[in-house]
Amino acid sequence: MAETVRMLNEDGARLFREFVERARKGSTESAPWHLLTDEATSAPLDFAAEVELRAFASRVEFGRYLADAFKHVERRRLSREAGMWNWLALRYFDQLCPPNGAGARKLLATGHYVLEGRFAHNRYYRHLVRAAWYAMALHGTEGEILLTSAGKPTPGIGQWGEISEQLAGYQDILGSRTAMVVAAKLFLDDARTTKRGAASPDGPGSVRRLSTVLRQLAMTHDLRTAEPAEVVVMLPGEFEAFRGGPKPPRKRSLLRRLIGADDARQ
Amino acid sequence: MKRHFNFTGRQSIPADMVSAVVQPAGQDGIRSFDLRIGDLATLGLPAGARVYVEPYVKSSSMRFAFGTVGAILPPQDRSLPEIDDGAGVLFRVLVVDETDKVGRLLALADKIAPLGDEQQRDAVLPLETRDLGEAVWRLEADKGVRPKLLINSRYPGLKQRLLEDPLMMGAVLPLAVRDAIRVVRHEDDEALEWVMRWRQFVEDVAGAEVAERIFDEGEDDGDEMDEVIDDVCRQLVEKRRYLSRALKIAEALSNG
Repeated sequence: MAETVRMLNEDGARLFREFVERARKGSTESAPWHLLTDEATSAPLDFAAEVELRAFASRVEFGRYLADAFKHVERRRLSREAGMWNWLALRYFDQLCPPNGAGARKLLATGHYVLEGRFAHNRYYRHLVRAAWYAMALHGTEGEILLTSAGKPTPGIGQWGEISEQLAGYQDILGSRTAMVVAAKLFLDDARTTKRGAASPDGPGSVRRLSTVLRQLAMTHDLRTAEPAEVVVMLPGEFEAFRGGPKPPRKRSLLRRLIGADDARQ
Repeated sequence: MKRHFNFTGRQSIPADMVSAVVQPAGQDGIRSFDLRIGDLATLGLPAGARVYVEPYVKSSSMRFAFGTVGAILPPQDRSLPEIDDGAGVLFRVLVVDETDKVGRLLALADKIAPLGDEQQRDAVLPLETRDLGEAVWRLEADKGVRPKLLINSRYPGLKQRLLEDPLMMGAVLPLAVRDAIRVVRHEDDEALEWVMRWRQFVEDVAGAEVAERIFDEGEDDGDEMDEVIDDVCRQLVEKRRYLSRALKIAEALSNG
């Protein structure tokens, strides 16, 4: 059943934040759904929008749904509607971080659920609901890379990983369709899952390195108009393994280096 | 000395060819901008090359298409909804060759600050009024950008009060100067006009040797350098005599 989207006001956002912080400390209370409709904690938007409380199989599906639900609203304006994003985060909270059998939840930092204060990209980009919408509203299918997580799948749609962090943290990369296509070419396999090593915190050719290299390339090339295939060619040799070239030699562990062991397992 | 390599022949657009003004936020809380660009064709750039303007604040940025070198055409909507609120906006101007597939940058202007008044442009630490919420003042000092002293626009006449009241100046300026020096001394490009101005300021207050120590020493013991900078601020306070001047004004007022 469709519900009219509203916004949480300052009090609503504060109470929502306090709930999130209690949940992180182990509270098993239900989410404060009453904040969504109470006049004291919420307000109508000045445009009409509706969403359904339905299950989503993935962040990509969630993002596509939101992009469609808000396609009639100007994107740049919607981008800074903190109250609305907080309302939606509360509305879908049980899917963002599902409670286990005992009612406990595994939560990310509060800023992934609650936006407070004036608009600042370096805080807003991490909001899980806004991020899912933004990726699909701005880039369509090419935005899927922003909503892909490495590692073991976790329940719900509230994942946030290194790929999201590195590609969305700078708006000049986030706004570049070319950067998204390049990242997808490098880091997604044919099944659209993340290749091993893509989200390594310090590995050569990782998404963190891609973010750095793209910002360097942006000194001499326009990332918004360059063709993705040309940018892939321009990337340095450390990306060879992800381009489909040979894998780099495996790094020896510190212990093996200390004792002078070779690469082969003993 | 820092060396710069430019393998693609990208030109620098002189800063004086670009002038930007940021308009205050309207009722919707969103700022906008106006920007004028000089004749880029005089730089030998092809008439058909695309021109883009990117306002930015830290990691937030937006892009506006501004026509071509031969026909600059600012867009009608120049609002800045996706630029961080409450912080100084800088501008980049890019000229892009879109005839090949690599998006080669033909020319670039970066870190263009919007116009302020002449006095502020010449000041070592320009003042700017801005809505700072509950903060009375704040120093804006990010790497690569000239530091600014922000005064809260919500209190009427606060900027003027600061300029006229030595007691207020004495409470604010030494701390702001201290924190600004801590940032400016790490600036890579020592040839920037405002960096040289800061170095001259420190030299005027504390002498050439101290200025050399602060700006030329690379690695340093954090505590020791903090002491050197604190000492510059102490000397500033001694020279400017904020408290004595404030006492004099107070005495004059009490004597009617």
